[in-house]
Amino acid sequence: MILNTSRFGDVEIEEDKIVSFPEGIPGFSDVKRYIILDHPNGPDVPFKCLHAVDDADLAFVITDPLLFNCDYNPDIDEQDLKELQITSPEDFGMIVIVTIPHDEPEKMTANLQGPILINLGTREAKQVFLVSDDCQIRYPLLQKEAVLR
Amino acid sequence: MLILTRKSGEGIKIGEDVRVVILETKGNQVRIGIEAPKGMKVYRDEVYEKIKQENINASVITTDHMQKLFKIWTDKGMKS
Repeated sequence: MILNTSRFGDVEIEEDKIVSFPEGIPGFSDVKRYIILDHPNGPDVPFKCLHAVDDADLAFVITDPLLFNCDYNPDIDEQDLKELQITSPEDFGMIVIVTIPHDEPEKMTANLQGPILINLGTREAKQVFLVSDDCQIRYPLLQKEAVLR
Repeated sequence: MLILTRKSGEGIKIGEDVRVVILETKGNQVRIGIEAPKGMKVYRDEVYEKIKQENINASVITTDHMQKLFKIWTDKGMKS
């Protein structure tokens, strides 16, 4: 199908790649279907776009948290795993949303307190909230200690 | 809303499974201990609001941002 986007124009997407968020994403609870688009410069760029399927304007930058913080191993609530029918670590993928300050993109941060889990089989997803305070809601991605691999 | 007065060390039972204990009061801060079943989520009530606000902040991206991210990625030697 063709996805209309305000940022990237019309993009051809495969419908079976659509990720559904039954509860939406906090702040955007009406929007249930998203697709992950590669960075315009190619699939190797570690920043991708989580784009709403039914809203041409709504998109988030996402990344793999482990690229920036290899110790990130959040304790996911059992209830969340059950909801997404996740029974083993191979069942799901985890991404985090990146916030980019308008004038200072190098000060971008990732929301490690609210990672998004995706069941890779059912393609159902949810943004979960970590109870512990160990994971920052604004984790600076480009701090010196960041592991750039 | 039910309002109760408790002293340090005293608790409140909610249903069969949840127990809340006042551990310490200091000035305008109160330390609370909560015992609840594993599947039950307990978080500060501002967490949801904070995550929601952060999502809203994160949603205002532009293609210019995407290009800047690409530049940062290549400049910082993140490219393997």
